[in-house]
Amino acid sequence: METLVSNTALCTVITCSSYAIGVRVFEKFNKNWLNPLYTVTIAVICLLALFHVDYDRYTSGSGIFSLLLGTATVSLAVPLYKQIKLLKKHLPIIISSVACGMLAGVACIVLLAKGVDLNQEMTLSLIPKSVTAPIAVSISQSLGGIPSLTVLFVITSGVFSLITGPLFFKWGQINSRMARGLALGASAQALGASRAFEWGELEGAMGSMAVSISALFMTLISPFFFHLSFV
Amino acid sequence: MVRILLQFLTILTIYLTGNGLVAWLHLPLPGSFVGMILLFAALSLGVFKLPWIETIARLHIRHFSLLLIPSIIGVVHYTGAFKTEGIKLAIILTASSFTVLLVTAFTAEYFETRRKRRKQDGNISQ
Repeated sequence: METLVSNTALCTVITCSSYAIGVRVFEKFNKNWLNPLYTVTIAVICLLALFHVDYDRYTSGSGIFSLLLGTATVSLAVPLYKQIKLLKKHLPIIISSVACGMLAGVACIVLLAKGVDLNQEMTLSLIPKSVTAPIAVSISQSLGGIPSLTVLFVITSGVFSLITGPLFFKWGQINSRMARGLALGASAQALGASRAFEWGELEGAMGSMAVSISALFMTLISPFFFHLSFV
Repeated sequence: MVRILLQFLTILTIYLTGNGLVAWLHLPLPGSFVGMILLFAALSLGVFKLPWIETIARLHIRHFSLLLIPSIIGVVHYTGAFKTEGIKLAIILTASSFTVLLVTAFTAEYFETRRKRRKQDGNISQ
């Protein structure tokens, strides 16, 4: 009991202080690749090494964060509810485009993974990488992937999409504001939605809707994909 | 402060209900996800009012990345895998991110243009 309390305290202090610094740095330089998730992860790893703290000790103290990640996922209902009018109005476009995007993305992962002969654990960790991180973690777990790798994949593909997305819209002549918001939300998740809000209210609303709908869709289809690719 | 705590307890109760439902009905879904659906349904049906939980929800969403850090730290156990599989992973991540971006954008653009055209046709025939 005592060790659990001290581990939790240790984990909380290290994580929160690194986060506070990481966010400051990100706000100051405002570069995509300085995303706090990268810088804070590196900072935590350095701190653990510096003070000779065992990773397992850190992980055993992280229960409080998994609990809060659960309540955070529940909280996602709020932005979705706020946009219920817009959602109802454009439901067919939103669902069909996000569903097509997700299906194509998973198909691409499964086919390429077979093509380059990637091991199964990695493939399973890749499958949920186009949905928002907390949901991706639970999907990854239930598929038998490695959740921490999945989070890394989600963030990396998010940052990649955030950088290449605007270039692609220009090149592919995507002029529809809805299409831009939806695509960025579906591929870069929360990062994409907040960027889309900078373009405009409609883009942002579409972006955050794509985040919720993709999570919903992927949660429902992922068990099917698992059977399809490995039986 | 008390208000935030109460709001948190409300969200926590919904989350635990989600977990309970998943365990009870053997659903192949994450409990947090079921909780999200429950909250969305409660808000839509007017059982729940937005102000009851809005502050805590905003707080959670703003600090999402903080909550993800501990789950990402586990990657240190897989640095060996990155050495052997790194290039494969980079190829798949790049290609699939691009696919999602491309297919979502073109599908939405296609449906929107088609709807606009249909609306225009409708106007002409009237």
